[in-house]
Amino acid sequence: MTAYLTKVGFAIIANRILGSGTEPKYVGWGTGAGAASTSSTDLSTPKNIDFTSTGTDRTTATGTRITTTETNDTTQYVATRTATGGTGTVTNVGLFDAVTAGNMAAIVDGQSIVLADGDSIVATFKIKFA
Amino acid sequence: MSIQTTETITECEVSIVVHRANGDIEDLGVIESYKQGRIKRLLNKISKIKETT
Repeated sequence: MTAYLTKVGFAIIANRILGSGTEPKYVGWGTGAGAASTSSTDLSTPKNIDFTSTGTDRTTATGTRITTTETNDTTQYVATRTATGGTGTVTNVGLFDAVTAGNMAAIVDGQSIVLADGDSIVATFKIKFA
Repeated sequence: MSIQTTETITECEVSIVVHRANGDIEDLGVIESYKQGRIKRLLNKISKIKETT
């Protein structure tokens, strides 16, 4: 299991420094077995919070600046995503710049999180610039 | 004179905590970034080279 800042993610960050683009603050999950990489552009088998439907609904995260090495050198996004509609196994989680479609800035793969109706995950993405 | 510098200094770290509907909490910990993993592999290679020289 590995966390990747994607190539598209670098482009998003570069664009944001110029005051352009859209904030990557939307968290989605997938249930596929596909391996992630820096070249990934989407989740493996994206699923809605309702596991019975395939889709790309996403949860809005709360973004803050935190300190890792130097003061305020890290952007952190935290989202709580609650499963509905039965049981599913989350294998990968991604951070996007839109509620649907859009671009994937970061992804973590290699998970096997079995969630039943009402279970939730709190996903914390930390993008460090130090 | 012009000076240009390029450094790749950005990385991503993810942590996941599972909250069960019955109130149980499972902390899955921090998932290592691709860059951290790559640095570890390089350090391992260096230490192996040192051992054999």
